[in-house]
Amino acid sequence: MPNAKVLAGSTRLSQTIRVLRDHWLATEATWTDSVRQRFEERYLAPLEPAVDSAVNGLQKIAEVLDQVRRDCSDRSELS
Amino acid sequence: MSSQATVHSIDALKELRTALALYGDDTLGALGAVEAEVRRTMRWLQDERPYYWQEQIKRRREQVALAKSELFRRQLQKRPDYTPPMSEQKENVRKAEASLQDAEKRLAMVRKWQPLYKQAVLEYHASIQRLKDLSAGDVPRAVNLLTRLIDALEAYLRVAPPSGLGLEPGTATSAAPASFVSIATDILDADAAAPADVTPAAAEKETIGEENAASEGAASIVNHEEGTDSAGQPA
Repeated sequence: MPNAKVLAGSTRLSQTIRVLRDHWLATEATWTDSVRQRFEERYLAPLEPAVDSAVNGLQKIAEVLDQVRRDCSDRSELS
Repeated sequence: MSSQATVHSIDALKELRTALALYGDDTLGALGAVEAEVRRTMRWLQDERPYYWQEQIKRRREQVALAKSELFRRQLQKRPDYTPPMSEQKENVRKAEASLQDAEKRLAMVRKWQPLYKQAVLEYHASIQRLKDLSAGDVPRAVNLLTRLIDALEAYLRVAPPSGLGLEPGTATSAAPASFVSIATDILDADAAAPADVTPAAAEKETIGEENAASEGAASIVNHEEGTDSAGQPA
């Protein structure tokens, strides 16, 4: 089922960014200089909106894939 | 925020580096799996489905013709005093025609979906492009940057392990010199200015430069916890 595969991908994207965020927060107590702030702004901050956009796109394409399969498959293929 | 670099655990940086590397791989893996599904469906819709439904239409037309001929044969048996049962044949014709109509409708759906699906895929690609670029480009660059920062810190610790703190590289609590901030800032600036110019050779050269700078910076390290410099003199 494409829908299931795509939704699994979407879940994976949400999980991996959460794990990365947790690791980043774990460095908060041990890395406290201006480089940290620049590193966050340069490399990490852009990831969250990019993940949101991708998750949105994945959910839309998952629906399209489902609809295409439903509309264009033989009934016997769907069962 | 001080210009003094404050990194209290190289291990934390190493864990972050590992997490970032895994993040990049996981993200590209997830997008790759979806991309495979999207492409598989594209081939299915563009190549396989039209052929499948055209063949089905041919076959179902034959079934309609066969069902109608069965019904016709029954109708020929009709006499003034005898009407043969035809309900099954009529039902077969009805089913065969419905099946043919369904195949024709499905082929029309395939043709309707072909351009719509292409458009949906274009929109999908646009929605993931930024994440794909970041995961394939910026995340490895961030991993590379962390490697260089860790190398610079370790080089600094090798040259001048802070005394009196029982520090060990890797698990150390350290306050690195201000020159470390300068090194890291230079790396970030260089990365922001020319991200595509980082070659392994250039990175190696820069790392060597960082190690030298870290050595120089060791002379000015200030131990904040004890308020002494590296020679044990009051700061």
